[in-house]
Amino acid sequence: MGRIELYFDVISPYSWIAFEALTKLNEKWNIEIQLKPFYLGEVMKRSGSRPPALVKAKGIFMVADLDRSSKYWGIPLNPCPEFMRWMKTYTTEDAQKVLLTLQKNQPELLEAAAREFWLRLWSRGQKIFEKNDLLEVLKTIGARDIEGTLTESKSSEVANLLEENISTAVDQGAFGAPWIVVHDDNGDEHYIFGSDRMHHIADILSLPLLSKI
Amino acid sequence: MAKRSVDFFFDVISPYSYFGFEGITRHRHLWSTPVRLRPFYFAGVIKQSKNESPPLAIPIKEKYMYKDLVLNAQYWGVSFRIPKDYKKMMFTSSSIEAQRLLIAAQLRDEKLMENIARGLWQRLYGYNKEIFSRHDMESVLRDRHVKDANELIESSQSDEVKKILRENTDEALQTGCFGAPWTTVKDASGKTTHAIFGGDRLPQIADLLGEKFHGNLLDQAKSQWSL
Repeated sequence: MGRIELYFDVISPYSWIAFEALTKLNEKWNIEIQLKPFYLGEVMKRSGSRPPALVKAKGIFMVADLDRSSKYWGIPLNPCPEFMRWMKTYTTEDAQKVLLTLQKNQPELLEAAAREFWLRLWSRGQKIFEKNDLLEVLKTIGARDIEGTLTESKSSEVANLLEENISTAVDQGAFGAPWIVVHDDNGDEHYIFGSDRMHHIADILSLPLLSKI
Repeated sequence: MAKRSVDFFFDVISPYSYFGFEGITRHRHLWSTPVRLRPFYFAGVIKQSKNESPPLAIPIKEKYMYKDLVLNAQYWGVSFRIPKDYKKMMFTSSSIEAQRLLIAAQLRDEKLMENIARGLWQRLYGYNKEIFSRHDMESVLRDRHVKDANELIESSQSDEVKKILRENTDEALQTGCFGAPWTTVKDASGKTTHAIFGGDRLPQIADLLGEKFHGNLLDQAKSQWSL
């Protein structure tokens, strides 16, 4: 049986699309999907990559493409008008560390937390960067020991978990998000960048081709 | 429902165009949506859209791309090897004569154009031979049993052919194009409602057209190769 690792950052709307697409497809596929929170800012820096929106035509395309892709998967994505401004001031490093802390202590809440971060930033236009934002997310998903979770998210142990996911992905050749590792039945690994390769994943793992659910 | 149509813009120097071309031509027989194949000029697109960061310019993306091309080729079942000095070829060789040849062929017969396009891709990416000189074109036309090959090559230099290639490139650029392949979906009035980049979005394109995506349709491919 196949296994997939999904490296993602809640700053990335294509990560959200991949997350929801894989979640839906997996109702039929029933494979093991491991979520790997990493930090896109650091992945871009270490890989020498540049964001697509630096080319004007690509930036314009991306807005239309996000709208089309989110509708295709039934995701309530709305680009946030403040996004570019926020990106100059804030990072998602703390949000990603909160996800890793949950993964360690309350793994059953990881999916809900990631989804709530995306809903805030990419659907309702709310911040996900400061302590109060993180607190609200933890409250909304019904996490236990909210203060303790936030404190632990600043620990060196969690920093190490983040570093491990970043360096593993970059060593595999990652330069953006989502970064998907597909483990096939022969024990081979296939690396896939982006959210639009679900038909390839189905093919690699001999799973039914479900282009849309 | 209003009749939509789809235009597929491609250049034979672009490997992702090859995969997109295979995908859309294998599906066309199963769809009622009209599909128009539009040869355009990739280098013109890159220049006009000021796309200064193609994946080959970033080492880690280049590395990924070589693996990804093989993954795609396996998926679509086409023989594929990365040509030697690939980066140099992509940055210095011009596919303009090959693209003009495709337009000239299309003026003669749509099926002929498809046949030659496959021949050019197989030569470049299957056998790693160049497709840029007159000699290269002659070789492809011979392999593909094209009648009146010299006349076809002569006609590829006509003003009409050059004009169509420019028009195709301009139309793609007007819809926001910055790379290849580029696909546009038009409504019944001919207005472009969607413009899509890349060779891997056929599931979405099918959905926009109200058509079904059938995967790689390898059986269809085999019947095309036996032509």
